[in-house]
Amino acid sequence: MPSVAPAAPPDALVEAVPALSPAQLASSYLGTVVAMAQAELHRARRERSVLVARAAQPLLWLLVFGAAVSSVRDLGVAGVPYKAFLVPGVLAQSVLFVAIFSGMAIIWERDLGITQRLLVAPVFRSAIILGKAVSSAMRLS
Amino acid sequence: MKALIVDDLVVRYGDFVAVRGAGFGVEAGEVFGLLGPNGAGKTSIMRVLTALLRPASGRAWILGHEVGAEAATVRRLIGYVPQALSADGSLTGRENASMFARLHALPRRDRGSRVDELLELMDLTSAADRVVRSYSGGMVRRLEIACALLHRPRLLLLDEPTIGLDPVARRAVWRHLAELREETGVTLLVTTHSMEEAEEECHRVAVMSAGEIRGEGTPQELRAALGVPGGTLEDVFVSLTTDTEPEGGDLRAISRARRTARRLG
Repeated sequence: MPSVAPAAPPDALVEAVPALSPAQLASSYLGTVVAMAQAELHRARRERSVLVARAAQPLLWLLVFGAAVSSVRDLGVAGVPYKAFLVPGVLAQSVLFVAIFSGMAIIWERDLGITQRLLVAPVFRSAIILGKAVSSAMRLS
Repeated sequence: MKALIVDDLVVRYGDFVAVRGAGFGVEAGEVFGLLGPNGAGKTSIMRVLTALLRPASGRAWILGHEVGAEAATVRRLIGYVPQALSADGSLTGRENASMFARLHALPRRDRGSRVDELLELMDLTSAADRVVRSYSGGMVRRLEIACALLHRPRLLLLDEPTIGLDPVARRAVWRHLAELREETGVTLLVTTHSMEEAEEECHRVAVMSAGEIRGEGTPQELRAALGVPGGTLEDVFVSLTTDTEPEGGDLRAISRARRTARRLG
């Protein structure tokens, strides 16, 4: 139930603020997610070496380690080429790494006080979380 | 008429009482300074005013809206610059400002021009397309103030806006804030450790210590109340806060302040 705001003291300057329509609220929600995703795109554009390293790591696992380990017999993956067997694991590992690093970045930002500013903006908290998740997913792809 | 009214505010963290019945009012259009040593409760009050912290008791109204009950409305009326550096170093000044323009749901057609306008007001136009990590400390602060102003707030809350800045950068920040007030009439609530700044820039100040407001008035009034010929605001501050630990502030607060100072260079 929404709480009833107590009346302002008589010497308070009162500024009327029009309520937001559902369309404006939806646009604000989407805007928050887009803003965070866009910031991530800008960052990625500037840090190409990081992108290359991120792309190279799973390929390294798959092509170098996969090729090396597949030459060992008795791996117990009869009927499936070893590299095909390895692909889901490498993908899962990439997801895990990006999730861990994104989570760490959020903790780091919180500790530095950066998150405070996002929380003070008139945005939905869930939109911030979704924005962060979309940004992390973009980092992955 | 008052843009901000704080009434008998109490903030607790477990058993520790950070703010003990603090109350003050800020007139519309004035610059109000909240002074006090580390751990006096200034940042707790800021956190209550930005609806990040619910007080144990007491209330605060910003432009007639009660902060706890109307948090979303209050956030549309305030701009906030935290003590910690919050601009994203890997983005340019323009990208940082554009992100906040979106967060504040500025209409698409106004967004670009509003960002340009604020960057110009804060004297950052020539650096707008450089990444923020190449900015000086004063420029980062001015960018943060620009970001906090995009949605035309009526009350700007600045938590130690000049901490870690050299005197030249400090003056530049205040000069830009004065221009801003002239243009928009925005009300400013500033916390600061610098008595010199409070004396020069604030119309009225409140001195906090151990969670209480120990004195409130214009710097001249507080100096007169001290009754010492030639007394400065610093003398007032010392006389009102001598019973508190000189090295107040918890480890986390101190390490955060040091990190901010380090990032500012």
